[in-house]
Amino acid sequence: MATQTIARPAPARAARSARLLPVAGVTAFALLWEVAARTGVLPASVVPPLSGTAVRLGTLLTEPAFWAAAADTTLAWAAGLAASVLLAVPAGILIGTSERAYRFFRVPIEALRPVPPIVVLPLALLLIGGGLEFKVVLIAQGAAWPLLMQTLYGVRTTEPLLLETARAYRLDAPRRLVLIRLASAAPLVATGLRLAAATAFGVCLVTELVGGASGIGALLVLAQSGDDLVGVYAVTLLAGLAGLGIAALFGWVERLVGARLAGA
Amino acid sequence: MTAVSAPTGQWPLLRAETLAKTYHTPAGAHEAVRDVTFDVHAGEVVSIVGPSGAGKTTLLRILAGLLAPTSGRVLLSGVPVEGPPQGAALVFQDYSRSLLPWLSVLGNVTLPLRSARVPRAEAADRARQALASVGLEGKEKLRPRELSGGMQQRVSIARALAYQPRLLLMDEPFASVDAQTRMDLEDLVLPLREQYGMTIVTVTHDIDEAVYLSDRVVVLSPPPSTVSAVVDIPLPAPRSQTATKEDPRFGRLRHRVLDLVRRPEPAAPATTQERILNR
Amino acid sequence: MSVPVSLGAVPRRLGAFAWQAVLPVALVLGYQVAASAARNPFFPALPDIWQAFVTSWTGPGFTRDVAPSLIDLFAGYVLGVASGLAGGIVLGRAPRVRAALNPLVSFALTLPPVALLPLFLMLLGIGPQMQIGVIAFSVFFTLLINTTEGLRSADPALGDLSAVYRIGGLRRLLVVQLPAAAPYILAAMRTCLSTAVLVMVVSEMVGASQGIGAQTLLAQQSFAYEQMWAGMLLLAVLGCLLNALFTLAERAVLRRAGLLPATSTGARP
Ligand SMILES: Nc1ncnc2c1ncn2[C@@H]1O[C@H](COP(=O)(O)OP(=O)(O)OP(=O)(O)O)[C@@H](O)[C@H]1O
Ligand SMILES: [Mg+2]
Repeated sequence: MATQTIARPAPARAARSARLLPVAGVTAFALLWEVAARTGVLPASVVPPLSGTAVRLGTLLTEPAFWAAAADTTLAWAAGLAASVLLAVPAGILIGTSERAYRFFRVPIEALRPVPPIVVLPLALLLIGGGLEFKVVLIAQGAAWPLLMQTLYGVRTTEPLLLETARAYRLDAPRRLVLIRLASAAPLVATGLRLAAATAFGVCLVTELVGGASGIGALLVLAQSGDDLVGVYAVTLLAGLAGLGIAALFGWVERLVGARLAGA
Repeated sequence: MTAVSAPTGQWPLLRAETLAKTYHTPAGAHEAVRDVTFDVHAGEVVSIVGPSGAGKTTLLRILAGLLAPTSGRVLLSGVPVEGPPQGAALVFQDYSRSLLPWLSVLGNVTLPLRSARVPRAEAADRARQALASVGLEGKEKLRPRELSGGMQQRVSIARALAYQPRLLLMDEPFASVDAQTRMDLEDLVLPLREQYGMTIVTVTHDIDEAVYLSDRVVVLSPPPSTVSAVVDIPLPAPRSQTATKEDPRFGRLRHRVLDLVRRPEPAAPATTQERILNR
Repeated sequence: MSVPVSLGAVPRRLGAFAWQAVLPVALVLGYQVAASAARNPFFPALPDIWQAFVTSWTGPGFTRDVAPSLIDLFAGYVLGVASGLAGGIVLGRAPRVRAALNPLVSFALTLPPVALLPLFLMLLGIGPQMQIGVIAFSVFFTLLINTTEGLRSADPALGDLSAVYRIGGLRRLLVVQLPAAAPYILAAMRTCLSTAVLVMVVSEMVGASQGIGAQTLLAQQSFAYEQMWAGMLLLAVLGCLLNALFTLAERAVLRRAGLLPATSTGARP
């Protein structure tokens, strides 16, 4: 190391710069984008100016067609995610609580887990067409995997000492399951939920991009086939913001559950 | 950048000057070291003893330039230390964390030498010698994980020895080795200062070890630590596990240091006086 | 393994093995029986799927569809891993730059990579460059953030070690820091491998006429159901196989690095 200084910045200064730096970063990026596009360093056929994209984003938000698409995507995402929770969490608990059951299901689970979640898309498209049902089925089967794995892991790694203590105090089986196993699996399930929510959003977009189902993904395809680069940028930005929102929401849930049940 | 060089003029090799350290944690401020001053002259062996949590590791990290004191300063031959100085080695208390699990024992010992641009063959040679001197011949190819805790600690000592530092700082270096090996290591360390002109500062819980190894013992008070006393150990060199430890003066000095460590609250004036008397 | 096995343990082992094999065998046989009884064209019998598998994906089918898919996947993955690693090392050394870029990186991370397909299609046109671009993009940010995090969360004792013994520059990076960050980097590489396969398939479905994904979707649209099933089978096998290969490679790397015991028995979850 050329310089090995041991002086550390004062805590107050560090905290202030920690708050300011991200703002500065985003501002610099936005400015760079705008200037590069305006001066032609980046041709408009590659990157249109940020201001124009932002204006387009604004008008998009006033169009009913956009809100219909957003509603379609949100509905399918939420329904698919809910279905995956209803599917994977009970399954994970059932399989994870019994060693015999776990071993019975182990091979197919291990084999199918790394399979991309859209492999069944052609078959589902064939069987149920490209509507809401198709989206929900595809999302549910994709999002179920992270949830199942996390639930299984959480239930199976319950501190054995806790279980033995519960048995010693003659807690009945349902109480043991709820108070001990589920409580100690909850933080991991919450992590699974965050992963599942992100997967659900991705799979939802795929069903719209490939399967032609209506939604944000269909807007993207529309803008692209209409050679509307500004529109593609605007909708892609929106999709990213939606992803950010989902990550923030479920990250918050995860931290909440973790804080409540930490050390359980 | 400071380097450990021959003492110039009236300066001692190492001077800790009114060192204080307060940690700022989310739980609040924690004053670990309040006021520590002492000198180490070239070629000396000085031990720092004190109860657990007295701030011994904190102090050693400050001496090694790893930690900035809240106030006070460390002078090496009169030059203030602002970062880890050249020519100083530190044997970490947490030896297992300071060994790289992905390198072999030999790789761990040669790493600092290779960084100092010592040619590969010479580095390996020095490393082998150092490893042999701590009783680890034939273990060069093993990974740290394949060794016991005490052996890992010896690898970390060998790494410092192979580096041939002018100033060797050690944080409870013999804490997890068996009694026999401990004596061997103690007797290994002492001749080093003649051999390489090393100056040694070591932290220990063990009063016997402190008295046996040292020219002077710095006794720290319970935290927030101050120097309770600096005790001179005028035992003749060379020291020997049998003769030295049977010397009646050894017993008296041991007793004295033990009293100082145990005394719960040192009266401040007495401390100062004692320090002056022992200068 | 040379653990002495008591005689009673052998049937018990066999029993355990059989128990694990029941479900997979039942699923395969059950499908075959149901499919040949139902005679539904949507669900062809296994021998027919296998037949289609061989004709679609071996010989000329391999060179036309499978090879380009795999090449794009490999190129995009390697490009993304290499650039993400390099970027992560830079960010790991520049905490202020990292803080400044944090919102942008989070944005890129949470944006589903498939959402970028229309944009990349417009910018790069139809062809391997589009596939490779989107795959690399999807891999890049995950590697970037995990490499940075791995470097940042390394044991501070290693920093002290490097400082005291003046281990610096490239040596510090290669011998001390990157190995310490390896668990993060490997975990990211594994996640990215699955994402990359997914993105490859979708990108071919959206904007290609060749490749496994394109052929599979085409088969569905042209009522060639055996071929469609053969495509689904290949994609599933590919996902499994790549994951298994990654596990093998990862274990070999960790073992060479002394981070795994030299002899280990049984697979870890
Ligand atoms: N990085 C840190 N942040 C906050 N507090 C610390 C830190 N390091 C040490 N302390 C606190 O400072 C005090 C002194 O710690 P230190 O490790 O220096 O003691 P020690 O004398 O070496 O103890 P031991 O004999 O157990 O090794 C302790 O109360 C410890 O909790
Ligand atoms: Mg200590």
